[in-house]
Amino acid sequence: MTDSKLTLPSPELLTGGRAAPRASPRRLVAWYIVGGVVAVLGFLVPLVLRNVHWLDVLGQGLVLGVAATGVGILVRQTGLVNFGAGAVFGGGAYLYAIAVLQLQIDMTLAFLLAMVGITVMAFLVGIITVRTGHLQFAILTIAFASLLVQFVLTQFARPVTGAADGKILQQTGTFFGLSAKAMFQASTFWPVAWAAILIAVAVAIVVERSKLGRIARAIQENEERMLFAGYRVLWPKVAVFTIAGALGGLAGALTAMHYSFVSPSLLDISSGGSILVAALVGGPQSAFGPAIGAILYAIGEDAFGAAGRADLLTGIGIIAAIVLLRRGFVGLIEDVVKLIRRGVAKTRKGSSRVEH
Amino acid sequence: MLSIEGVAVNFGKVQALRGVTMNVEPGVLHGIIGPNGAGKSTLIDVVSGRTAASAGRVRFEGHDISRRSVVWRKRAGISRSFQKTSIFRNETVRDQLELVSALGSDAAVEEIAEALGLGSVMDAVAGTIAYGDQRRVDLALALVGKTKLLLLDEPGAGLSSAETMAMFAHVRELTEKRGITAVIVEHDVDAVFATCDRITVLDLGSVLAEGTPAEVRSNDDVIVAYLGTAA
Repeated sequence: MTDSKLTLPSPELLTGGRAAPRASPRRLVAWYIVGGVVAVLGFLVPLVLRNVHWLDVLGQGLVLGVAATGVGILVRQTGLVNFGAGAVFGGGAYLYAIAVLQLQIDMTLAFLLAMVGITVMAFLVGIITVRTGHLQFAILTIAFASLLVQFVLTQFARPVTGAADGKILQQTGTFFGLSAKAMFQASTFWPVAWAAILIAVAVAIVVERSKLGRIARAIQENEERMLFAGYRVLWPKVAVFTIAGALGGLAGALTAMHYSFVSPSLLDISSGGSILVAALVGGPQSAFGPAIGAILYAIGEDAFGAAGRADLLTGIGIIAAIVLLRRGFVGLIEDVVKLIRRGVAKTRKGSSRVEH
Repeated sequence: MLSIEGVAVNFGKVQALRGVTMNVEPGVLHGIIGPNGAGKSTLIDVVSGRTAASAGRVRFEGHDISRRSVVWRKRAGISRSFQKTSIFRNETVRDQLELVSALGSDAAVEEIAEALGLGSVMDAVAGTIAYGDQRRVDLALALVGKTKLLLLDEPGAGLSSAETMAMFAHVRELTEKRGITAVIVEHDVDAVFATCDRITVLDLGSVLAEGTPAEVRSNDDVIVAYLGTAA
């Protein structure tokens, strides 16, 4: 006789351990649809948000988000925390500025040259830094950022970098059809910034799901085992660092293009700190967490600036966000969704009992 | 298959290995036993490339591999497990076996997992399964990926005698089936005598005795080292 109340044992009982969570194909399709809709709707924001100031603040947040997504990729895939992200952010900006001013070439070409340059630079810095321990890595990234600031300030580099005064860019041509003036205006800069953040998040997702991402995470978890499994543990880390650096450079080049200006502050530790904090506030464990964190950071910084205590209030806000939101803003959203689901499940259980 | 010639390892003033010479014939299960500090694990480390020898040579299939990297040795077919369980705790058993076997294009993941009794935990996150299963995952990670020479550093660590015997039986079965030569360092002497074809006894970094289990069991030096008095 069969027991009508017989239920299947949980996967945990069947396997003797906790079964790995896997997203169902239906859920994945739903995510892709939601993502696609958000991606398209994002381009239409300037049509809805007419306030130029807020559009500019959010645009800056998106650009910061591109760099923060790069930092997030590095944290998630390798466990390495880059305190000197300003080096690639400012590096991208300065390479773009140098291409524009010294080579006097079209904006698009200058941008592409800057991207190639910053990617090569990130690759070379990666070879040196990722082979060290986590603490040494963090210190080396700060050292590289400081080194670049000092180089920019030297008399030798002054004709090209403008030293502490920075450089105003006389941009010629267009950036994929947009003039320097259009790139400065918040409403026309927005689609560029939005496209950049979409690219950054897509790169983060692709890296996470790629073989490279899988290998990098395995190295993060057990480097010695991967070595004895025959994997060269340096190159996957260098590759992830290079990708993260390229995203930082992309954000920097767009910033230089937007403001038509570069200065050493783009390279320094506080610039890298803002990027890192944005990633932490959003939640680096998620592909889109750093982007959300960057937007929140930009909004917070602007609001605190309006209150006349920008640094003080930003500092308090950062401490509160990191202490209270251990897994960042995205982690908070995940927890809330879980709570709601549990509540719904309990309500359903309760109502089915009443019916019986 | 494996030839160790006068290998010495010094850690500062401590001599972990003092001119060890031994041969491992193809297809055998070769046990290495000895008291704590005898240099057993160091010997495995030297062969796998984890530790560089201060003197001597290691030959594998006739080639001097003394200066070859860990990665080169693995790709040549030398694989190892660790005394402390070394698995990917956040990955499923299946994912990590597939990842590790991918380089060697080894399709035998399922076969090895089944033979080691891991079939029921293949889709479980490795950090959540029982310790005995984790040890078997550790062994499976060493076995997959076209292994020719398997180096096992105390596979029975933390297991009961019965579990260790079962583990050795699995090793015997799999190595025979896949034509793998194995070198096993183990504290559980009974398991080694019951399973291995040949045994090397190390003491204070030197070879004390070598031979079949029967030869080693009756060796006076071994009896003195283990029992403190001749039989």
